[in-house]
Amino acid sequence: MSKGNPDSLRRLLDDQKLALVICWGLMLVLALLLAGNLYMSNGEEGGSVGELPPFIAVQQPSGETLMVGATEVTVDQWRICEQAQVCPLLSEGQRGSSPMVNMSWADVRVFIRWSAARQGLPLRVPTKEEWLVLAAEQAAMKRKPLFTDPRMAWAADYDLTALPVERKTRAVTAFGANSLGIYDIKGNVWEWVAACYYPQPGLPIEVFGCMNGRVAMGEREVGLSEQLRSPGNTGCGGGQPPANVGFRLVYSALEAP
Amino acid sequence: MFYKKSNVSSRLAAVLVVAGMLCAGSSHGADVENGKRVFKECSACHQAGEGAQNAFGPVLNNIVGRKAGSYPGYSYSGDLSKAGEKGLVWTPDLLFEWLDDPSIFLKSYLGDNNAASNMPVTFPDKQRREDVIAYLATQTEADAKDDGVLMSHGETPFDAKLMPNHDARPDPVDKLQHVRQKLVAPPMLPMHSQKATGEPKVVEIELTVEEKQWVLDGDGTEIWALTYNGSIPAPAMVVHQGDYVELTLKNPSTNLLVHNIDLHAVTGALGGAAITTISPGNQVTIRFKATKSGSFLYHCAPEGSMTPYHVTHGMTGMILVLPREGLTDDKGQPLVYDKAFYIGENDFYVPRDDKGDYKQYSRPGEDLTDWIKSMRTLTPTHVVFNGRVGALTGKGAMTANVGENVLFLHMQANRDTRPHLIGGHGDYVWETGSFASPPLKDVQTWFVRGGSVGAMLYRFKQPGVYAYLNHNLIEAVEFGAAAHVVVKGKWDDDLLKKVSQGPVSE
Repeated sequence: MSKGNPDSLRRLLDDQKLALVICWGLMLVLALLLAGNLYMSNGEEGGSVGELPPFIAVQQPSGETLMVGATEVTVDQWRICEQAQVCPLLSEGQRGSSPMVNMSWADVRVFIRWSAARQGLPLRVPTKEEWLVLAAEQAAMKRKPLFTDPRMAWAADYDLTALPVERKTRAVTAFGANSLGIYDIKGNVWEWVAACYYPQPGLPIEVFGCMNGRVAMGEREVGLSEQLRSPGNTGCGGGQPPANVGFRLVYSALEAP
Repeated sequence: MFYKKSNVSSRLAAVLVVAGMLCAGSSHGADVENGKRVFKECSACHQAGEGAQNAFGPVLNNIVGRKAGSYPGYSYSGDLSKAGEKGLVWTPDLLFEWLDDPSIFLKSYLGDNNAASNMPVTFPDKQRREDVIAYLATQTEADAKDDGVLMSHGETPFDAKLMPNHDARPDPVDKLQHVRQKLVAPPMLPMHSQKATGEPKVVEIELTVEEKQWVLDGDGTEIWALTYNGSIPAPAMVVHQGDYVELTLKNPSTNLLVHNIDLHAVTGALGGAAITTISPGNQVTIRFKATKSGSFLYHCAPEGSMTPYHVTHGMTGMILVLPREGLTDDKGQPLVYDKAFYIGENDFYVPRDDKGDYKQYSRPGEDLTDWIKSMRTLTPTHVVFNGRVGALTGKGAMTANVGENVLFLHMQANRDTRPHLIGGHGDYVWETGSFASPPLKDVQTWFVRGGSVGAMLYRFKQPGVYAYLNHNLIEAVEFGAAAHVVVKGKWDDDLLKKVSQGPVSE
């Protein structure tokens, strides 16, 4: 499974090259510091950054520094939350070093709330726009829509070249890092993002949850029910859901204590 | 007249053994006739009598007096071979202990708590044990026993080469036109005409059994599948009512198991199963007349538990026998299809280990004991179309155009299923597969009985992506019994349009 993003974002990034170069050194220093902190603390009472993936500083087009999980949250990291009897027991049968999957958006929120309080960090998942910046290096996947009639937008993304989904996941970092130091953007699992899904243009903006589904990003943008734990099952819908959806944590450096 | 002469000394030995057992003083005495019945349970794995060959288990002729683990050409478990090397020679008494629990017997005999037998069954009932041992004692290499066991479902009574045509007169069927049908992988059907032309033909078809590793889902769950021609489901055959089918079944020597074929379109001999059982390295040819029109199942059917075992490992297929004038509605008006798809629905029962993970095996048949235990729960781990979750989606999706009549043939050998086309209907449905019965009309969901092939004809009226599934939605979504049909064409607002969407107006 590959992931991609539109070319327009790459152009946007080109404008920011200078800022990226300036920030590069800062990012490396921060990464080293965090990595050092990461594996040293393991407090029983309070949280430990070691319970989470290392964070990498990534400059956003707005100039803001976003701290981004270098990998998706792993099964082992989810299990800490399970052992604290906070997160639902969903990790059975999953390999510890792989990204945690088979949890709904509702489950992810539980993890984030618990982990943010434990770590004292304003943790969240990236917005769609932030995710696209992280994925800017991946080639945008341009596929001719299957149907161009707007009345058939619901079926336009169907891929008549897609092979049956592979649900096996690999250990995090298996798909390598991009130049930002962010791992597995181009493979392994799709990721929940902070965005509601709007299947058609013109639908009212949702404020209290995502009634039409939440966006998961990967090969393309898909909308999934926030309650769905196993999107990969080939079911009664006409679409092709992702095999697995995980999540990557981020936080704004400005908001961090 | 086809059997070899009896060997007098072996017969005498057998008589002495049985006599000895009777004299040994069991409470009721051994009943050879009942033993013969009991042996039918054993015949899922073992053969005995004239022409017996090693199958899943070794030949049991002359078992009394034989050194354990010594029948030529059979690959025994290491522990049974060890017992033979240690001097184990089968006597009625030792067989009596063995059948009580083979693994416990080996542990005790070898003094090794880790010793185990591959034999999956036990016979706790002492009388049944005595009876089957008495029966086995009568089964010697040279005996000829036309006794109903050898001729039973799943047995080959003699080598086909030894069996010339009984009737020396010319066979008029030989004079009919012979055509060879090239089979294709599902969900497609072989090239065929919907209406027959001319006289009935003899359609020559070949099936080759392939035992192969097969991935069932996106998690990589893998089994040693048993297949005809390497596909799950097996390929579709298409003929017309009144045609003859000359079917050759090959079981290459690279396979490990005995196979046969039971076709529901066949009249007699257990659908052909009784005369097609072949060991690896053999082939058999039968000719049958397609007397009834309809969509029929075919499947492998060795004896006993091996039948559902083979069926739930993929050996299921379909033969479509069209009326000579083609399909018709209830008034006899012709119904013509532009395309036809054949959806094979198969249920699998993959054994799990103590951790709940699917177990893996190193060769075909190795999962027998575990699989039988698993399938007896009647709870499949997979219910899939075309052999794997998602096989008929994406690249494998079925395609059509608005205005086309599409015939869907839905096969399930084992369980009941209820096909449904989301966003469409069954214009004409032959639920039982019988084309002699008038089709149901305008059906939302139709019922296909386990052990049959249902047929449905639908003219697509709207473009888009349709889901075609088993409308037990748990089986469709959670187990995998779902497919897609992608239909191109112009959208028709008259049939469906969105009028509005927005916040609820108070």
